[in-house]
Amino acid sequence: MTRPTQSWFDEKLARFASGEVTAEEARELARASLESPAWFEELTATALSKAAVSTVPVPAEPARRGWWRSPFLLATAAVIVIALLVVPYGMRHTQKHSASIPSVSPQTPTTGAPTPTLAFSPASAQPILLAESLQLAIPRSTTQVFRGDEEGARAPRHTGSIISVEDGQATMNLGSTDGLMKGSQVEIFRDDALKNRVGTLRVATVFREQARVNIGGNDVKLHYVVRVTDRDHLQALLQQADDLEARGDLTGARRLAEQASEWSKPAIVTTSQRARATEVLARLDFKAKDLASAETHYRAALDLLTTDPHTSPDDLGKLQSDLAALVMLRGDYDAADKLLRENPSSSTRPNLRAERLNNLGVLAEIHRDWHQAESFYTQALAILPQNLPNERRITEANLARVKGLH
Amino acid sequence: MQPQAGNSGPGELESAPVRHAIPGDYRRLLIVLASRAHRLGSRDPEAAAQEALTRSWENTKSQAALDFYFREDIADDVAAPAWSLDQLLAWLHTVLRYVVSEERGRSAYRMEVSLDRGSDAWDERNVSEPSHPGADQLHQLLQRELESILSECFPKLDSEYQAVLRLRGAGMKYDEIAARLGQKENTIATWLSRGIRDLAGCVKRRTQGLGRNK
Repeated sequence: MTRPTQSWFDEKLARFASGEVTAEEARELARASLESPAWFEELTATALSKAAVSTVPVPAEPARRGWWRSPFLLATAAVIVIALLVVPYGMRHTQKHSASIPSVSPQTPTTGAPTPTLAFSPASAQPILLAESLQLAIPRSTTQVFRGDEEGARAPRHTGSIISVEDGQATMNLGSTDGLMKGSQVEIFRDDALKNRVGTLRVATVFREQARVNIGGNDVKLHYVVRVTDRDHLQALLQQADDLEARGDLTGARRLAEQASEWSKPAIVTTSQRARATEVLARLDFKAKDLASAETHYRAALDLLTTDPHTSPDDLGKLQSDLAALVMLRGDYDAADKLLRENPSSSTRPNLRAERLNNLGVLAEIHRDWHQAESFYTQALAILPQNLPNERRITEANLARVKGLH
Repeated sequence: MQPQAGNSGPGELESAPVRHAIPGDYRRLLIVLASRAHRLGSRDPEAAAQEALTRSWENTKSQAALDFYFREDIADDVAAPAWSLDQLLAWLHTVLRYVVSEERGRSAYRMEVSLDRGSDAWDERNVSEPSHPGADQLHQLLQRELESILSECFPKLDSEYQAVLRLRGAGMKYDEIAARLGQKENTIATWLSRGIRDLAGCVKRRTQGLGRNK
């Protein structure tokens, strides 16, 4: 065997720590540890830790120290057997006496402080957040893209050209037709400099990579230049980011969303549309596990929305709810509390109101206010539509767990 | 250095019973054990390492495990022993620590012992002399050592690691823990590994403290 390197040893030791090595691999590690007293020390300390965890009842809380030290009087084998039988009972018993004491009971927190999660499990020991955009387990309510998975989808362009004129209709090439729909407006120019304008026409038909407009009485000729509105182009960029994400190209999706967000700043779009672009970027940041960037972008989007007097309570509520969930996942509970309390409860969408109530319940659980948490979860469940079974299951799991805590 | 357990070498305990020589090559193991003995406060680390290896060898399960994991002149296809590497190293640590305590106790001429006293059983004042601890006694010492590790180090761990280790200690499998905590199995494996490594870091600091306190 060649002389083991530090990285080899570290990697093996990590696997040994999590119990993933075979006896032969353990032997290899043991022999390698003889190369250096420091390695042997490391391995011995790891082995002692593993042995401690596997043969001694793990302390549930400091007050129980006297109890779990008593097996000193027993032989090792007896202690192991007793530990396996007694610990689960002991922990359940303890839970009845103090809500602040963690337990391994299936529907109670197992750690010192509840940690919010987005992952659904029917018997989750942790409070589960509801956040429509972040909930990876829940299908997003974006428009379904009926398109192939091909890699070579063309990038949408802000301007294109007329490629044929026939039977009163002009066919235009704009790269991707993402963002265009029947009735979308396009401007026609005679020159590339976009100075000599023909007029504004409406899209009559959208194909996979081309779209047609009705010419009417306008002077539209081959190679004339077409420009889509800023709003449609932004929509096209975001739609393509969605497509890249759906194909698993998260890096590409983030890059495109970032471009879209930057492009939208000077563009002629509404503040809400600009906020939407930043929000898409934030969601992709989150999916890429870059929570700091996600928070920055969610906050930027929120700043935009709050300055727009025309922002709908639903848009604002959704963004605040997502951001609150994100900051809770990052452990900033004060910020989450502020966001949730600012969140308008007058949203027209019951699922948004329920989301807010569920997440207020999570926050109450974190603060160990079980009664308040139960109240919030109950209210959330009462207004959650029956056609949202995933959301209902999450809130039901939260309610079931918290009911066992007081 | 060859193990010379059956001989009366430097540091050999006067009261130790007659031993059988250990077959096989354990030179490198003795070197690292001596280093540990030094850390634990031994004044004659090589002798302590040799004594610890000899006493470990007297346990048949330890013998098979020593052969499998550390003997250098043995075929690779030897059957895996009943003890895991964790058990063997915990055992070796216990025996070595006992030997070092014994050495210190002899030096201090403090012979009173009561293993069931509330004070630290490892204190040299509490180590009996003449003494050749039986397997039961060593098992008790090991048990107390493991309990001490948990009581000192476990509360210092992150809550996620505590949760995973607690459930793992209760005998749950990865998938069961993952379902319980609402996490992926890979996350559970990572937390488990990190939890054990953090616990090990605390054990190392504790060992250094033991050596300094002696």
